[in-house]
Amino acid sequence: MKRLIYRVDDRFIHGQVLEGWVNYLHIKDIIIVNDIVAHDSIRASIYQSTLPAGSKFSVYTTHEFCEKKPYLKNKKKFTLILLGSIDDLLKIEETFSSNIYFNIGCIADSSYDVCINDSVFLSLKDFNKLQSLSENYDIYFHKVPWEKPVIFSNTQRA
Amino acid sequence: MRKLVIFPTLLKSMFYQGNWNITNMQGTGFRWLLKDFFKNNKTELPSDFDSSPLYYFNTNPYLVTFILGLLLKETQEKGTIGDYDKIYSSALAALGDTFFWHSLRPFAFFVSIWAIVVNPVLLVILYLVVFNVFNIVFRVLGFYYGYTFGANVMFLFNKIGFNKWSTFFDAMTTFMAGVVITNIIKYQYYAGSEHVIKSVLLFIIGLILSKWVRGPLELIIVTTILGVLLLFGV
Repeated sequence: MKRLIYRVDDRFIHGQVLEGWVNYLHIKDIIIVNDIVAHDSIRASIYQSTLPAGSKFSVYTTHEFCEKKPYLKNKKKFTLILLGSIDDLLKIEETFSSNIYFNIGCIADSSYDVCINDSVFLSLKDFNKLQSLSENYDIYFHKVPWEKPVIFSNTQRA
Repeated sequence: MRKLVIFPTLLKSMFYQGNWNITNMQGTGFRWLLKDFFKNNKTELPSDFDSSPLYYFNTNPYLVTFILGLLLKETQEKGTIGDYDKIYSSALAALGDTFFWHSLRPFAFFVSIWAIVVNPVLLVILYLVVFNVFNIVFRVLGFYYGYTFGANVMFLFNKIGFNKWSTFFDAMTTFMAGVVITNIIKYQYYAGSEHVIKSVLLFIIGLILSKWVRGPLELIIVTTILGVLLLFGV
């Protein structure tokens, strides 16, 4: 698996993220990219409190993330970037590269038109955005690393 | 601590996942709990609470009462709950899943396994007792501490170092697993020091293979390899 993981999850940090990703892949570097969390220190500290001892946690607005590119500091080990929505993901499009593992983990807290799996429910608008994105990058829909993913991929590119 | 009416909601909290579904997870059950807890404590539901049947909620079931307590406090003091139901549901899911599912279950098993010497049924009973002591204590205290600390209840978890509990329990479980395996070898298969050395080597091979697999199959692979080889008298 690629070392840089962009995960869209509207719950940010929860059980699947800790047990499934952080502990399973021994991820020490966790970054939340979200404008609301970045401006809410209590919320950020609550999320930080849930992480295992020794984890490095930071929060950025989408703008700061594109500007500072904090993921470049740690190229050898896994880095988990958590985003709250497809819109947040597309806001940091300028940081995209072929070295990123795109994971859509959970989008469930809203009305939906398309059900991808038992944790991803998309509006038609978001579905189309991801289809466009899949023309350049593979997108993996799964909750945890060992679960078989649904993959959006451009077969011609492959 | 303020006197809260918790008993009916405590009982209901044992069943609130009964309506779990992939669309709104525990949302329906949580709304049921919240309404019950607020009614028993003579408080109106907060004005900003999402009363839609599709209300989305998912957390670790053993820590849900902390959220009920803190939402009651926030409502009584401010009249609103803000996003605290969302924030704490994911945060406590992270903490609770790591401790209860990952660490406490194997810990309770290895604490209880000694009862098998007396009676296998006793093992099951003891396992349920050990696991549920934590379950009940956290559920009961959750109402009170959630209510006492309100939106700052995470400071309590920080104070008791709850995110380190799983590491501590994992270490104790690993130690107890070692004691159990050693005892099995000693009392069931022991045939001289050469046999012990072979067993240790096989165990190490099993560990190396299991690390290569990297998953919940680890212990199964280790014990299966060891068991099969011992069965054939290696």
